[in-house]
Amino acid sequence: MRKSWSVGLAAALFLLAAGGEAWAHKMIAASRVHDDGTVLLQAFFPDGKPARGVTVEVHRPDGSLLAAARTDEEGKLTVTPDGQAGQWTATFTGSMGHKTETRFRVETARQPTEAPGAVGGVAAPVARNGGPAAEARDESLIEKAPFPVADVLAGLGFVFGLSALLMCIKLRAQLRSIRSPEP
Amino acid sequence: MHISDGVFRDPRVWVSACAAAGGLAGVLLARMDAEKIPRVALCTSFFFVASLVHVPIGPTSVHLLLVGLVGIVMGRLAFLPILFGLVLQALLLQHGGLTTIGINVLTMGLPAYGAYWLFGLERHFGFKAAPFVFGFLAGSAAVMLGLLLLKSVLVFADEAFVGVAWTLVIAHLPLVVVEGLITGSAGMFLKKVEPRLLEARGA
Repeated sequence: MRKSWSVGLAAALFLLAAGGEAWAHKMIAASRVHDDGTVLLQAFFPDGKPARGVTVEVHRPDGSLLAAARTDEEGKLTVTPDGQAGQWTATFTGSMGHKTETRFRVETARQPTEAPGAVGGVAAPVARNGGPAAEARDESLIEKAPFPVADVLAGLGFVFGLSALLMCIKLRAQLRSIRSPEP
Repeated sequence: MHISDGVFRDPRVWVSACAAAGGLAGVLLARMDAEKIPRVALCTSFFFVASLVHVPIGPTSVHLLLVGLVGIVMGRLAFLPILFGLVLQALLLQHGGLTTIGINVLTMGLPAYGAYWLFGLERHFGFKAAPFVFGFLAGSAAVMLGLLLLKSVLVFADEAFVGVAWTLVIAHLPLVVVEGLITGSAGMFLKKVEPRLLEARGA
Protein backbone atom coordinates (compact mmCIF):
# COMPACT_ATOMS: atom_id res chain seq x y z
CA MET A 1 0.00 0.00 0.00
CA ARG A 2 2.97 2.31 0.67
CA LYS A 3 4.05 1.92 -2.95
CA SER A 4 0.51 2.79 -4.06
CA TRP A 5 0.60 6.00 -2.09
CA SER A 6 3.98 7.00 -3.52
CA VAL A 7 2.86 6.30 -7.10
CA GLY A 8 -0.29 8.35 -6.63
CA LEU A 9 1.44 11.22 -4.91
CA ALA A 10 4.12 11.35 -7.61
CA ALA A 11 1.39 11.53 -10.27
CA ALA A 12 -0.47 14.27 -8.40
CA LEU A 13 2.71 16.34 -7.92
CA PHE A 14 3.60 15.92 -11.60
CA LEU A 15 0.18 17.17 -12.64
CA LEU A 16 0.42 20.05 -10.20
CA ALA A 17 3.79 21.08 -11.63
CA ALA A 18 2.63 20.70 -15.22
CA GLY A 19 -0.45 22.79 -14.59
CA GLY A 20 1.46 25.84 -13.49
CA GLU A 21 2.20 26.97 -17.03
CA ALA A 22 -1.23 26.70 -18.45
CA TRP A 23 -3.92 27.81 -16.08
CA ALA A 24 -6.67 28.88 -18.42
CA HIS A 25 -10.06 27.39 -17.86
CA LYS A 26 -12.59 29.73 -16.34
CA MET A 27 -13.92 32.34 -18.73
CA ILE A 28 -14.07 35.93 -17.52
CA ALA A 29 -16.17 38.69 -19.05
CA ALA A 30 -15.66 42.45 -18.76
CA SER A 31 -17.24 45.56 -20.25
CA ARG A 32 -16.46 49.24 -20.71
CA VAL A 33 -18.92 51.97 -21.70
CA HIS A 34 -17.30 54.55 -23.98
CA ASP A 35 -18.13 58.24 -24.21
CA ASP A 36 -19.56 57.81 -27.71
CA GLY A 37 -22.21 55.44 -26.36
CA THR A 38 -20.62 52.21 -27.61
CA VAL A 39 -19.85 49.41 -25.20
CA LEU A 40 -16.79 47.19 -25.48
CA LEU A 41 -17.42 43.61 -24.32
CA GLN A 42 -14.46 41.31 -23.78
CA ALA A 43 -14.09 37.65 -22.82
CA PHE A 44 -10.79 36.15 -21.75
CA PHE A 45 -9.30 33.34 -19.69
CA PRO A 46 -7.43 33.77 -16.41
CA ASP A 47 -4.07 33.77 -18.20
CA GLY A 48 -5.22 36.75 -20.29
CA LYS A 49 -5.73 34.83 -23.55
CA PRO A 50 -8.81 35.97 -25.50
CA ALA A 51 -11.91 33.78 -25.62
CA ARG A 52 -12.50 33.68 -29.37
CA GLY A 53 -15.79 32.87 -31.07
CA VAL A 54 -17.81 33.09 -27.90
CA THR A 55 -21.52 33.73 -28.43
CA VAL A 56 -22.64 36.94 -26.74
CA GLU A 57 -26.25 37.86 -26.10
CA VAL A 58 -26.89 41.45 -25.07
CA HIS A 59 -30.10 42.05 -23.18
CA ARG A 60 -31.80 45.37 -22.48
CA PRO A 61 -32.76 46.37 -18.92
CA ASP A 62 -36.29 45.04 -19.55
CA GLY A 63 -34.83 41.62 -20.49
CA SER A 64 -35.44 41.81 -24.24
CA LEU A 65 -32.66 40.80 -26.61
CA LEU A 66 -30.78 43.57 -28.36
CA ALA A 67 -28.08 41.60 -30.15
CA ALA A 68 -26.52 38.16 -30.50
CA ALA A 69 -23.06 37.92 -32.01
CA ARG A 70 -19.68 36.27 -31.54
CA THR A 71 -16.45 37.66 -30.18
CA ASP A 72 -13.61 38.22 -32.64
CA GLU A 73 -10.02 36.95 -32.63
CA GLU A 74 -9.23 39.23 -29.69
CA GLY A 75 -12.23 38.02 -27.73
CA LYS A 76 -14.11 41.31 -28.00
CA LEU A 77 -17.35 42.65 -29.35
CA THR A 78 -18.63 46.19 -29.60
CA VAL A 79 -22.31 46.99 -29.17
CA THR A 80 -24.31 50.20 -29.31
CA PRO A 81 -27.17 50.12 -26.80
CA ASP A 82 -30.41 51.64 -28.07
CA GLY A 83 -33.49 53.02 -26.53
CA GLN A 84 -33.21 52.18 -22.87
CA ALA A 85 -31.18 53.55 -20.01
CA GLY A 86 -30.42 51.25 -17.07
CA GLN A 87 -28.49 48.09 -16.34
CA TRP A 88 -27.78 45.93 -19.40
CA THR A 89 -26.62 42.33 -19.35
CA ALA A 90 -24.23 40.58 -21.74
CA THR A 91 -24.20 36.78 -21.49
CA PHE A 92 -21.19 34.92 -22.89
CA THR A 93 -21.56 31.24 -23.86
CA GLY A 94 -18.34 29.49 -24.79
CA SER A 95 -17.83 26.38 -26.90
CA MET A 96 -16.86 24.23 -23.89
CA GLY A 97 -20.10 24.76 -21.99
CA HIS A 98 -18.70 27.81 -20.20
CA LYS A 99 -21.16 30.53 -19.41
CA THR A 100 -20.58 33.88 -17.76
CA GLU A 101 -22.04 37.35 -17.87
CA THR A 102 -21.17 40.95 -17.29
CA ARG A 103 -23.41 43.92 -16.58
CA PHE A 104 -22.98 47.52 -17.63
CA ARG A 105 -24.95 50.65 -16.98
CA VAL A 106 -26.22 53.00 -19.67
CA GLU A 107 -27.18 56.40 -18.30
CA THR A 108 -28.77 58.00 -21.38
CA ALA A 109 -30.57 56.41 -24.29
CA ARG A 110 -28.96 56.71 -27.73
CA GLN A 111 -30.00 55.72 -31.20
CA PRO A 112 -28.00 52.90 -32.83
CA THR A 113 -25.47 53.83 -35.50
CA GLU A 114 -24.35 51.88 -38.54
CA ALA A 115 -21.09 50.08 -37.93
CA PRO A 116 -18.57 48.53 -40.35
CA GLY A 117 -18.12 44.80 -39.96
CA ALA A 118 -21.58 44.39 -38.52
CA VAL A 119 -22.88 40.88 -37.97
CA GLY A 120 -26.20 39.54 -39.17
CA GLY A 121 -29.52 38.89 -37.45
CA VAL A 122 -31.11 41.26 -35.02
CA ALA A 123 -27.69 42.49 -34.00
CA ALA A 124 -26.76 43.91 -37.40
CA PRO A 125 -27.00 47.64 -36.71
CA VAL A 126 -25.80 47.57 -33.13
CA ALA A 127 -23.06 44.97 -32.74
CA ARG A 128 -19.79 44.50 -34.58
CA ASN A 129 -16.83 42.23 -34.14
CA GLY A 130 -13.52 42.58 -35.93
CA GLY A 131 -13.14 44.34 -39.29
CA PRO A 132 -10.46 46.81 -40.31
CA ALA A 133 -12.00 49.64 -38.34
CA ALA A 134 -12.35 47.62 -35.16
CA GLU A 135 -10.76 49.01 -32.04
CA ALA A 136 -7.98 47.23 -30.20
CA ARG A 137 -8.52 45.09 -27.15
CA ASP A 138 -8.69 47.08 -23.94
CA GLU A 139 -5.80 45.63 -21.94
CA SER A 140 -6.89 47.49 -18.81
CA LEU A 141 -9.94 45.21 -18.63
CA ILE A 142 -7.78 42.08 -18.55
CA GLU A 143 -7.21 40.83 -15.05
CA LYS A 144 -4.84 37.88 -15.13
CA ALA A 145 -5.49 35.46 -12.32
CA PRO A 146 -2.49 33.76 -10.73
CA PHE A 147 -2.27 29.99 -10.65
CA PRO A 148 -4.49 28.94 -7.73
CA VAL A 149 -1.81 27.18 -5.69
CA ALA A 150 -3.62 27.80 -2.41
CA ASP A 151 -6.91 26.48 -3.79
CA VAL A 152 -5.25 23.37 -5.19
CA LEU A 153 -3.45 22.65 -1.93
CA ALA A 154 -6.67 23.29 -0.02
CA GLY A 155 -8.46 20.83 -2.29
CA LEU A 156 -5.82 18.15 -1.83
CA GLY A 157 -5.83 18.73 1.92
CA PHE A 158 -9.60 18.43 1.96
CA VAL A 159 -9.47 15.18 -0.01
CA PHE A 160 -6.97 13.51 2.29
CA GLY A 161 -8.61 14.89 5.43
CA LEU A 162 -12.01 13.62 4.35
CA SER A 163 -10.56 10.24 3.42
CA ALA A 164 -8.98 9.95 6.87
CA LEU A 165 -12.32 10.78 8.46
CA LEU A 166 -14.11 8.21 6.32
CA MET A 167 -11.52 5.59 7.21
CA CYS A 168 -12.02 6.31 10.90
CA ILE A 169 -15.78 5.90 10.57
CA LYS A 170 -15.50 2.71 8.53
CA LEU A 171 -12.86 1.14 10.78
CA ARG A 172 -14.79 2.07 13.90
CA ALA A 173 -17.83 0.28 12.54
CA GLN A 174 -15.69 -2.76 11.71
CA LEU A 175 -14.12 -2.80 15.17
CA ARG A 176 -17.54 -2.61 16.80
CA SER A 177 -18.75 -5.58 14.80
CA ILE A 178 -15.65 -7.55 15.86
CA ARG A 179 -16.10 -6.67 19.55
CA SER A 180 -19.75 -7.60 19.67
CA PRO A 181 -20.21 -10.72 17.56
CA GLU A 182 -23.71 -11.94 17.03
CA PRO A 183 -24.82 -14.62 19.54
CA MET B 1 -15.43 19.48 -20.54
CA HIS B 2 -17.59 20.79 -17.75
CA ILE B 3 -21.06 22.19 -18.19
CA SER B 4 -21.47 25.49 -16.37
CA ASP B 5 -24.34 26.82 -14.29
CA GLY B 6 -27.17 28.33 -16.27
CA VAL B 7 -26.94 26.02 -19.28
CA PHE B 8 -30.02 24.07 -18.17
CA ARG B 9 -33.00 26.35 -17.86
CA ASP B 10 -35.34 23.62 -16.62
CA PRO B 11 -34.41 22.90 -12.99
CA ARG B 12 -35.99 19.44 -13.21
CA VAL B 13 -33.07 18.33 -15.40
CA TRP B 14 -30.23 19.19 -13.05
CA VAL B 15 -32.16 18.40 -9.87
CA SER B 16 -32.90 14.87 -11.07
CA ALA B 17 -29.30 14.41 -12.26
CA CYS B 18 -27.97 15.60 -8.89
CA ALA B 19 -30.35 13.23 -7.11
CA ALA B 20 -29.23 10.31 -9.28
CA ALA B 21 -25.54 11.06 -8.79
CA GLY B 22 -26.00 11.65 -5.05
CA GLY B 23 -27.96 8.43 -4.60
CA LEU B 24 -25.37 6.43 -6.51
CA ALA B 25 -22.55 7.98 -4.49
CA GLY B 26 -24.39 7.19 -1.24
CA VAL B 27 -24.80 3.54 -2.20
CA LEU B 28 -21.15 3.23 -3.24
CA LEU B 29 -19.92 4.95 -0.06
CA ALA B 30 -22.03 2.67 2.14
CA ARG B 31 -20.75 -0.48 0.41
CA MET B 32 -17.12 0.60 0.09
CA ASP B 33 -14.49 -1.17 2.19
CA ALA B 34 -12.24 0.99 4.36
CA GLU B 35 -9.16 -0.21 2.51
CA LYS B 36 -10.45 1.35 -0.73
CA ILE B 37 -10.63 4.85 0.74
CA PRO B 38 -6.95 5.79 0.17
CA ARG B 39 -7.30 4.78 -3.48
CA VAL B 40 -10.42 6.94 -3.83
CA ALA B 41 -8.47 9.84 -2.27
CA LEU B 42 -5.57 9.39 -4.68
CA CYS B 43 -7.81 9.22 -7.72
CA THR B 44 -9.78 12.24 -6.51
CA SER B 45 -6.51 14.14 -6.15
CA PHE B 46 -5.20 13.53 -9.64
CA PHE B 47 -8.63 13.98 -11.22
CA PHE B 48 -9.01 17.31 -9.37
CA VAL B 49 -5.57 18.57 -10.40
CA ALA B 50 -5.72 17.19 -13.96
CA SER B 51 -8.18 19.88 -15.03
CA LEU B 52 -5.40 22.45 -14.56
CA VAL B 53 -3.15 20.77 -17.11
CA HIS B 54 -3.93 22.19 -20.53
CA VAL B 55 -2.93 20.68 -23.82
CA PRO B 56 -2.43 23.44 -26.42
CA ILE B 57 -4.14 22.47 -29.68
CA GLY B 58 -3.92 25.07 -32.43
CA PRO B 59 -5.44 28.36 -31.33
CA THR B 60 -7.20 26.80 -28.37
CA SER B 61 -6.37 24.39 -25.58
CA VAL B 62 -8.18 21.62 -23.79
CA HIS B 63 -7.55 20.29 -20.33
CA LEU B 64 -6.85 16.72 -19.28
CA LEU B 65 -9.70 14.63 -17.93
CA LEU B 66 -8.08 11.32 -16.93
CA VAL B 67 -11.51 9.72 -16.76
CA GLY B 68 -10.15 6.54 -18.34
CA LEU B 69 -7.35 6.33 -15.79
CA VAL B 70 -9.82 6.79 -12.94
CA GLY B 71 -11.93 4.03 -14.47
CA ILE B 72 -9.16 1.44 -14.77
CA VAL B 73 -7.89 2.14 -11.26
CA MET B 74 -11.21 2.46 -9.44
CA GLY B 75 -13.51 0.13 -11.33
CA ARG B 76 -17.07 0.32 -10.04
CA LEU B 77 -16.10 3.00 -7.53
CA ALA B 78 -15.07 5.42 -10.30
CA PHE B 79 -18.10 7.61 -9.65
CA LEU B 80 -16.76 8.64 -6.23
CA PRO B 81 -13.46 10.33 -7.21
CA ILE B 82 -15.21 11.97 -10.16
CA LEU B 83 -17.96 13.32 -7.91
CA PHE B 84 -15.55 14.58 -5.23
CA GLY B 85 -13.18 16.01 -7.84
CA LEU B 86 -15.95 17.88 -9.63
CA VAL B 87 -17.30 19.31 -6.38
CA LEU B 88 -13.84 20.61 -5.46
CA GLN B 89 -13.26 21.99 -8.96
CA ALA B 90 -16.57 23.85 -8.82
CA LEU B 91 -16.03 25.22 -5.31
CA LEU B 92 -12.33 26.07 -5.44
CA LEU B 93 -11.49 26.61 -9.10
CA GLN B 94 -14.88 27.69 -10.48
CA HIS B 95 -14.70 24.95 -13.12
CA GLY B 96 -18.14 23.84 -14.18
CA GLY B 97 -21.00 24.65 -11.85
CA LEU B 98 -22.64 23.46 -8.68
CA THR B 99 -26.08 22.87 -10.18
CA THR B 100 -24.60 20.88 -13.06
CA ILE B 101 -22.46 18.59 -10.90
CA GLY B 102 -24.94 15.74 -11.23
CA ILE B 103 -24.93 15.95 -15.02
CA ASN B 104 -21.15 16.31 -15.18
CA VAL B 105 -20.72 13.32 -12.86
CA LEU B 106 -22.95 11.16 -15.04
CA THR B 107 -21.33 12.24 -18.31
CA MET B 108 -17.86 11.46 -16.93
CA GLY B 109 -18.69 8.55 -14.63
CA LEU B 110 -20.32 6.38 -17.28
CA PRO B 111 -17.26 6.63 -19.59
CA ALA B 112 -15.09 5.68 -16.61
CA TYR B 113 -17.14 2.51 -16.23
CA GLY B 114 -16.69 1.88 -19.94
CA ALA B 115 -12.92 2.26 -19.58
CA TYR B 116 -12.92 -0.15 -16.65
CA TRP B 117 -14.77 -2.76 -18.68
CA LEU B 118 -12.60 -2.25 -21.75
CA PHE B 119 -9.34 -2.49 -19.82
CA GLY B 120 -10.60 -5.68 -18.21
CA LEU B 121 -10.39 -7.38 -21.61
CA GLU B 122 -6.61 -7.08 -21.34
CA ARG B 123 -6.58 -10.20 -19.15
CA HIS B 124 -7.60 -12.34 -22.11
CA PHE B 125 -4.58 -11.31 -24.16
CA GLY B 126 -1.12 -12.45 -23.23
CA PHE B 127 1.12 -10.25 -25.35
CA LYS B 128 3.55 -7.93 -23.61
CA ALA B 129 2.07 -4.61 -24.71
CA ALA B 130 -1.51 -5.61 -23.89
CA PRO B 131 -1.79 -3.24 -20.86
CA PHE B 132 -0.68 -0.31 -23.01
CA VAL B 133 -2.92 -1.21 -25.94
CA PHE B 134 -6.01 -1.72 -23.82
CA GLY B 135 -5.14 1.26 -21.65
CA PHE B 136 -4.91 3.36 -24.79
CA LEU B 137 -8.26 2.05 -26.00
CA ALA B 138 -9.81 2.59 -22.58
CA GLY B 139 -8.54 6.18 -22.25
CA SER B 140 -9.52 7.13 -25.79
CA ALA B 141 -12.91 5.47 -25.62
CA ALA B 142 -13.66 7.16 -22.30
CA VAL B 143 -13.05 10.62 -23.77
CA MET B 144 -15.04 9.81 -26.92
CA LEU B 145 -17.96 8.45 -24.93
CA GLY B 146 -17.82 11.43 -22.59
CA LEU B 147 -17.87 13.80 -25.56
CA LEU B 148 -20.84 12.06 -27.12
CA LEU B 149 -22.74 12.12 -23.83
CA LEU B 150 -21.89 15.78 -23.30
CA LYS B 151 -22.96 16.66 -26.83
CA SER B 152 -26.26 14.82 -26.35
CA VAL B 153 -26.88 16.57 -23.05
CA LEU B 154 -26.09 20.02 -24.47
CA VAL B 155 -28.35 19.50 -27.46
CA PHE B 156 -31.06 18.18 -25.14
CA ALA B 157 -30.71 21.30 -23.00
CA ASP B 158 -31.08 23.70 -25.89
CA GLU B 159 -31.08 23.24 -29.64
CA ALA B 160 -28.99 26.39 -29.88
CA PHE B 161 -26.10 24.29 -28.56
CA VAL B 162 -26.00 22.08 -31.67
CA GLY B 163 -23.19 24.11 -33.25
CA VAL B 164 -21.44 24.55 -29.93
CA ALA B 165 -21.60 20.83 -29.23
CA TRP B 166 -19.94 19.94 -32.53
CA THR B 167 -17.22 22.53 -31.90
CA LEU B 168 -16.67 20.93 -28.53
CA VAL B 169 -16.37 17.45 -30.01
CA ILE B 170 -13.93 18.55 -32.73
CA ALA B 171 -11.81 20.58 -30.29
CA HIS B 172 -11.42 17.57 -28.03
CA LEU B 173 -10.49 15.02 -30.69
CA PRO B 174 -6.72 15.47 -30.14
CA LEU B 175 -7.37 14.92 -26.46
CA VAL B 176 -8.70 11.48 -27.35
CA VAL B 177 -5.19 10.52 -28.48
CA VAL B 178 -3.43 12.30 -25.60
CA GLU B 179 -5.64 10.65 -22.98
CA GLY B 180 -5.17 7.30 -24.68
CA LEU B 181 -1.39 7.64 -24.50
CA ILE B 182 -1.49 8.72 -20.84
CA THR B 183 -3.89 5.96 -19.82
CA GLY B 184 -1.97 3.36 -21.83
CA SER B 185 1.36 4.41 -20.31
CA ALA B 186 -0.13 4.50 -16.83
CA GLY B 187 -1.73 1.10 -17.35
CA MET B 188 1.59 -0.37 -18.51
CA PHE B 189 3.48 1.28 -15.63
CA LEU B 190 1.04 0.22 -12.94
CA LYS B 191 0.89 -3.31 -14.32
CA LYS B 192 4.63 -3.58 -13.78
CA VAL B 193 5.05 -1.57 -10.57
CA GLU B 194 1.83 -2.06 -8.65
CA PRO B 195 -0.58 -4.45 -10.40
CA ARG B 196 -2.82 -4.57 -7.33
CA LEU B 197 -3.93 -1.04 -8.18
CA LEU B 198 -5.38 -2.32 -11.44
CA GLU B 199 -6.63 -5.68 -10.34
CA ALA B 200 -8.62 -4.42 -7.38
CA ARG B 201 -12.05 -3.78 -8.85
CA GLY B 202 -13.86 -1.75 -6.26
CA ALA B 203 -16.57 -2.72 -3.81
